[in-house]
Amino acid sequence: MALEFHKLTDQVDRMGQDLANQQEEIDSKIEVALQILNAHADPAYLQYILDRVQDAVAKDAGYRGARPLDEPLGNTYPPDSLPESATIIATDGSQIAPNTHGAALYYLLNIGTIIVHHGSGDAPHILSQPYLFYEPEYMLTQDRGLITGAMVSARRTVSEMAALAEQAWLNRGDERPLLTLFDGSLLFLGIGSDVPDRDQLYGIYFAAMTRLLDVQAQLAGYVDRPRSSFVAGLLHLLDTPEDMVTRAVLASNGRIEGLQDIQYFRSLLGPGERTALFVQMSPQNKDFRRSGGDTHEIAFFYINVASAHEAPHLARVEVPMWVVADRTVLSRIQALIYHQCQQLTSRYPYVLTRADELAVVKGEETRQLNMLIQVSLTRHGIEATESEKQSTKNSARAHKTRHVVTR
Amino acid sequence: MANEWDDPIGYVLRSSTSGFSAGAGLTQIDSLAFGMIVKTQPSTDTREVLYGLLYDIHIDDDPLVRQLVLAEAVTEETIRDQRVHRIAPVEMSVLATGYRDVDGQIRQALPPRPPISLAPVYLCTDAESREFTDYFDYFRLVLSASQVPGEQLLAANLVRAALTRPESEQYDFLVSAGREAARLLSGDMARLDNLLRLIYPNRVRITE
Repeated sequence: MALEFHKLTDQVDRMGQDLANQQEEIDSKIEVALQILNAHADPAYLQYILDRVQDAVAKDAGYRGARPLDEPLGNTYPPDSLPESATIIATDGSQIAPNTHGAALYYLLNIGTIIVHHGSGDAPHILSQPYLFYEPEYMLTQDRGLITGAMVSARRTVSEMAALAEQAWLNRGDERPLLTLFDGSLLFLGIGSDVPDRDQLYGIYFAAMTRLLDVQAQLAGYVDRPRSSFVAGLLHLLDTPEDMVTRAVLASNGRIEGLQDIQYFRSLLGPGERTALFVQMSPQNKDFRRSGGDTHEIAFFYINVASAHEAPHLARVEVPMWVVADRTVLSRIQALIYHQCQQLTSRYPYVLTRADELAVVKGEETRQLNMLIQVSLTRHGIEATESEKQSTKNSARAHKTRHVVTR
Repeated sequence: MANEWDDPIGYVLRSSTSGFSAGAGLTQIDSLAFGMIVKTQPSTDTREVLYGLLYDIHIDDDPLVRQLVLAEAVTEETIRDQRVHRIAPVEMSVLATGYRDVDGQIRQALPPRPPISLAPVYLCTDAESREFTDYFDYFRLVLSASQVPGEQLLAANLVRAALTRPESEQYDFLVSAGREAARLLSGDMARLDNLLRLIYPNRVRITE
């Protein structure tokens, strides 16, 4: 049975009303956030802010906000002029998760890559590479359980970074600046404690990052519509008297609880501009520094990718420390990312859009692959059928066809 | 000019005995023109060839292309990416006008069977175009097809066919074709007038 919309209309209306009411509250929190930010925007406050963060860390108060890297809190930075030439590589991945009701147990990763020689006028180089996994060592965890969706996602993330490093390696030595663009956070947030081979995956991930560093590639992770509140955490810390900093106080963001960073930065950033650089004080980032060294710690900034006549559209860009070491290079990356976002009216980087398009496995393709596997198994004398549950689901979800009654 | 079985210009998407649609990449657009004679094979028997006139060429869009159209800073690399790599096909429609039977004879009538999906489609060589247009029996198929602009299509085809002949034969060819058209369209002076104006020999030479 289809979704009964008439039973939803009241709920949807109530939802709209509630969200509208929340907006007033958000507006007043934005004002508070900007007051705190402006009160600490002077460059002279930078050392004080760093000391406050250090103090919170020393008190083991569970601080998870940001710290400014070395730029004043309220500063904004325009992009450099667009480089005449550059190589931009982007990857994205998709997956078919294991299905215990399918004819065979497997999962698939498909990694899409696009390599654009910006300024050349040439068609980009594109490729997509599918990987089929079915062997027990890939399908089962150490305690003989079936691999989970989270594990498949983690392996996909590693494959994306490895593909980026591979293509950067193949394009090394070129005089053109080399920007490698990753879809999402660089902090490998998808890898939780429920991923048993996380250490091994981290190892591959860091090795790929190191390979990028070795070929002097600039790496950036692009997060569209970020809901993060790392800088809001910092503002709350600054809003809290030093002697009041405790784990309980830092468990929320106080007067600006629930506020996302982009909600107040949007009033500060002009088209193409970025915020100051920040570093997220998270255990993940600590792991990155510990495992990969100072060069692998991740910094971030917010950028307004909207064009001049549009409302601000903010994204978060994450970069490793080797990228921020040279601000001219960073400014060039900022220009290239902004330019990428100007190519589509959705203001999302064109190369990531295309990498996603190359990677995505559509429902129909999944069905065709399942059929292919079923035929192959049958040809090799293995009885291969879907479970009754899967078969019934397929029937129920199939497109409706019209029954024609003839006289 | 194309060799007989050179690179295909596209592949059959849908077909019937009255014609077919074929898909091609955007890079093929330069080699296509309204009124061209194209050929494909309706079966695995390579002696059988189906001929038709290209009468409609259209290019589909998709949401990404619509975004690019409205964006301000689209680069040459992006445009090349869209044209070379993305599956935004050129779709062409072909009106079936005849076939070469297994005995090698060209028959200007609907073919016995349509081409199958993904059969390659080729441009005809000058020699093949000349051979096919030596007879005018296909005029009736073109002029009676409801889905095509008949006079426009036939005129475009005849002008192209004239140009595959030696200059000394072009005038006579077009006059003969005009006479056959006059016979078929004697009851519809408006269509006949339109067709004759389009293939009027002096105008063909001017636009050559």
